[in-house]
Amino acid sequence: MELVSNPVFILLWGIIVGYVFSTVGAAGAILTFIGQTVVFKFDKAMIKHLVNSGIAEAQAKTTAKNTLKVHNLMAVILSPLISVPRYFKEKRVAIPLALCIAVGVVLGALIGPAIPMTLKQYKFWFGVVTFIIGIRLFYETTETYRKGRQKLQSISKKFEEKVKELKKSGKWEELAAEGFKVTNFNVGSLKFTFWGEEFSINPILAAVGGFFIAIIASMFGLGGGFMLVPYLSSVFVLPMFMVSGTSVAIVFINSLVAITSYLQKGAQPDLLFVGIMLVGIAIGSFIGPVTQKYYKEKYLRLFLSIILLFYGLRFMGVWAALGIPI
Amino acid sequence: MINIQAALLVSLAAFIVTPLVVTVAARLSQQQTKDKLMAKIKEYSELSSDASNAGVRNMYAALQKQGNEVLMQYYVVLYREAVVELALHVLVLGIIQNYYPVHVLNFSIQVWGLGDGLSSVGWYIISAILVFQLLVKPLKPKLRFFRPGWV
Repeated sequence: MELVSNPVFILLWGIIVGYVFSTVGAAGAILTFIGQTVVFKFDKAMIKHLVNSGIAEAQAKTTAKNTLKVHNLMAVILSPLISVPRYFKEKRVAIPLALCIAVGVVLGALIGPAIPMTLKQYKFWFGVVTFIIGIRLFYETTETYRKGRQKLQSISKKFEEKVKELKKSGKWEELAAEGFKVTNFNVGSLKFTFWGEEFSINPILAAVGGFFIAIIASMFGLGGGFMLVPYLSSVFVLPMFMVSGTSVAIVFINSLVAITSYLQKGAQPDLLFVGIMLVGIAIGSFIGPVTQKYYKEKYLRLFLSIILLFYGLRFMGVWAALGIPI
Repeated sequence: MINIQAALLVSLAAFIVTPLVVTVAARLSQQQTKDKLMAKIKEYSELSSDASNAGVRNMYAALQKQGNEVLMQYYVVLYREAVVELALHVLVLGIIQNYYPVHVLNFSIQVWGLGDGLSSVGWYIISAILVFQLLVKPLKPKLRFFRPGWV
């Protein structure tokens, strides 16, 4: 298949995605999706190409849908691919917990891609996710959110100062060398120490959670990090330094299994398209922090939220239902 | 059977691109930013643990929320680092996929996951890993261009 557009335009779109993601810290995958489906109409070009090659239209649509998901997952897997080996080396992955969740994740990531979903349904649900993130970003530009955040920072700063007065520090590095140690393991309970702190989890609960997260994430071509982080920190009450390594390792497993599954289902990723966009994302992600000081981030966030709300409604078919030809 | 011309050509691409990527990635290293953010995450984590021990639930929730925000910043930096390290490789893979889609190795049997041969794309991935492991890694301590933050 020929490249869907002029490489310069793909590169420029990549720069926009990288710029926004590195500045706002969200919506990278959604903007990549908008680029593929709205700006470059990758799915339509692929369907046309496949139909011209003699493939039935229904099959061509399925292949295009699966290819979009693989493109998304390829963008997701980049960072785990680089960071997971390092995390293991630095002993920052809670391996016993990661293994328990991984059991569920592998199963879920195999089932997710097998759940039937048309291209139209996929776009609709992606629209729902886009709309929700748009609302969240809009909320983050409001005075209520800003005041709440300021209050949060000032309270925790006071607490921090008080604790510093009372506490002797310096034990952390010694404990880091120890990594994790399993102290008790059976079907109903897993107890281990990690960086000197003891944790007790239910392996079945961990696997079941991983299973459902992986089904949802792999169905939509996502890594699942946005669900894993609250899951690990809220359900298992794990500290953040532990959540980072463990969730990235699980996202890696989920993405890898889902990509393999979609490739077996006939997805045909266009590596040139993805490669050009990634080079653009790399450039944009370095321009973002440099230029951030020249304007208020709030305005970019507001602009992005409007874009996401608009496209969320478009993917859900709201504009079409209202007879607005956008 | 091996297609020697294709094997050499693709390996040469991996031989050129891999050290180039490592040099660029080392120059643009995000290690310092990552260390700073991780220290902040650890700090919030310790504080929230203290808050939990002291039974101050609101404080625990507030500190966890702030830790979460820093964690998201950490993920963005992580992504920035990864995209620099892999974008050029994916681009080269794309060029090979589009303009040089040949079989480098032909198997006489069907191999699960690979089919009847190893494509130029697969050969590039293997070559790049080998170049990294056998050439770049041993040279890292000796060549400053491969070390983070070189100027």
